[in-house]
Amino acid sequence: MNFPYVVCVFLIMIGLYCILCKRNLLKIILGLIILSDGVNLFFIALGYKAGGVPPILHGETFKHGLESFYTAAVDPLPQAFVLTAIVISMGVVTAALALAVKIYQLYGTLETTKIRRLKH
Amino acid sequence: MPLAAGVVLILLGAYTSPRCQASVAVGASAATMAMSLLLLRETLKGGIIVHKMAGWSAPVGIILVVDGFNAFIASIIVGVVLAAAVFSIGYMRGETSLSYYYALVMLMLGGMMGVVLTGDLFNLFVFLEVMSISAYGLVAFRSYEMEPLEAGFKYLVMGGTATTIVLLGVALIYGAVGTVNLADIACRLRDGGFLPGVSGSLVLSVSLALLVTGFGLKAAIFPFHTWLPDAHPAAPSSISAILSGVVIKVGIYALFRILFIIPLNVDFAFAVAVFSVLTMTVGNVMAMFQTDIKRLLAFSSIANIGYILLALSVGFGGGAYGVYGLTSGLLHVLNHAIMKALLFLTAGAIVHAAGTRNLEELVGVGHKMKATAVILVIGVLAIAGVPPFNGFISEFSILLAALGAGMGPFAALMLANILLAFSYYLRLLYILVWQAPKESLSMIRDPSPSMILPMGVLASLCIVFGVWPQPVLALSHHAALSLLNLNGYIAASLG
Repeated sequence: MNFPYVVCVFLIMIGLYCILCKRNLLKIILGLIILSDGVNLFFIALGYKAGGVPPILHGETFKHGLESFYTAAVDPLPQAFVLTAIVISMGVVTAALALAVKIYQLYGTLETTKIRRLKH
Repeated sequence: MPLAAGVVLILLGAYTSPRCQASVAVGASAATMAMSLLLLRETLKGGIIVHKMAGWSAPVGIILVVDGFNAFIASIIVGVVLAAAVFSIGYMRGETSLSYYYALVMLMLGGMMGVVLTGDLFNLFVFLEVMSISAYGLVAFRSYEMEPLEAGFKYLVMGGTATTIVLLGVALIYGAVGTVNLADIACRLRDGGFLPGVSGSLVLSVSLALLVTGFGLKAAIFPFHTWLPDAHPAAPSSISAILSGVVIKVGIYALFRILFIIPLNVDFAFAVAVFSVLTMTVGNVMAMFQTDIKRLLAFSSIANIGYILLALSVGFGGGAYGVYGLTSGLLHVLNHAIMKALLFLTAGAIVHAAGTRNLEELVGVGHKMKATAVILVIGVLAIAGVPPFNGFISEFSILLAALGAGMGPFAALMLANILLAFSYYLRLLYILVWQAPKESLSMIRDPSPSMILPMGVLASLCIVFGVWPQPVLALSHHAALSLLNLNGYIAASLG
């Protein structure tokens, strides 16, 4: 039962580790992707029910009445949320990659140790 | 409305002149300004306006809820964006791909309005991302230079992490309570209605911690402030004005809203106070050592976020001083938005004319730009907290509120911070206005009228709100009261 949550936490930790500790822009972006995937997976896992049916009202699922449909169906709301979140994280990653390309064109490298001219 | 303008701008970009694009942007922000002022007037009559998206009522559908609090914040946001848009006409002249610039500004405005007006936690996350992605693009807008790219990337990574953390918090709240509607969350938490099999208090404190971390990153609260001094100076100055003036206030808005929706204990007020003092101290101490005019202003933004947070922590105390603290905090949100937008626009005008941000090369620039210098003096004195200007009113009332609420040590630290800040603001004035001008600056004159106009309006607001603060005090008092009026909020959104 708790297995998906453990996986999610693991993914989130990997993502945070990549963002904080990696010195390559692409690896940082990968960390961002893994982090958001972990969160998305967590959201999906919240709505999951073992042996659940799709939350669509039609003859097959509605056979035993509304009450049993309600208890059997998977929660549809997290799926809608996560779909939105995936699109958004795609936007963020696209922006990050575009910046990384620009940085590579200017510096010829993606290593933060070589391009970090900003004061901390 | 601004979202639509953003899309129109991208489409128009290929065919129209920059002047036309600018007027679309200015027109759209002016229209939004008019609408938000109308909303503010409506809410002042005591009402809470609920707009049901696509006709579904809460908690099933997505709703926009406007009460005195977010109408107040929304008006500030649009005002600053309007000023920056007018300023951009002169300031961004000669840049390429201006249609994308104005489109991103409008999308950012749309995102900010969405965050502020929505009554739904997930929707808030979506609009937060709309706002942030436009902001990343705008910070890195001058993509042919190195600094904006690096700063933009840093901002993107930290901002992206922040919003993902916010999403995790939203997921946990949904898992615990089974709804993402703000009013419905408040309602169920009040009645203790957790979903079966959830240890409510644990999940709630974890998700609250995640949300506070995420919004704190957006608001540049210590120790999450490191992106701000890179991102804000690297952006074009009109964008710095929006970023420092209102984008970080959106994080503050979300913090205020969430922390009053989710019940708290008193320890949390103490923690917020500690972080506020750390934030303002770090901001002020770092600002002292800056030689870059925009970087100095960026650090001073961090310090001012600290002042606002201290007011928020006073607000948790409840009682008369709690309301007073919130009122002064919200007043400072307004005043800081005006002052910091003004200062960044002024700095932008100076940098635009002189071609450098280094204070040592800008010595005496005020002698050459008389009108800008007058406005700069007003802005700097206002933010330093000198009596006839608006900054004094709000900073002083935050101090009084903190003293009244028995947070004497914190108030003392804040007073020390204000004095510290005073020293570097005076240094700024001394270098820019007092000293004799350098010879290299001899060719400089005042900027074009479209740049002077918004600066002049903001500067006169600094004076007006300073000598005649009653109306804005009443407004922010009303905003604070409607923030505390949780039951009315629930009834209006769900009813």
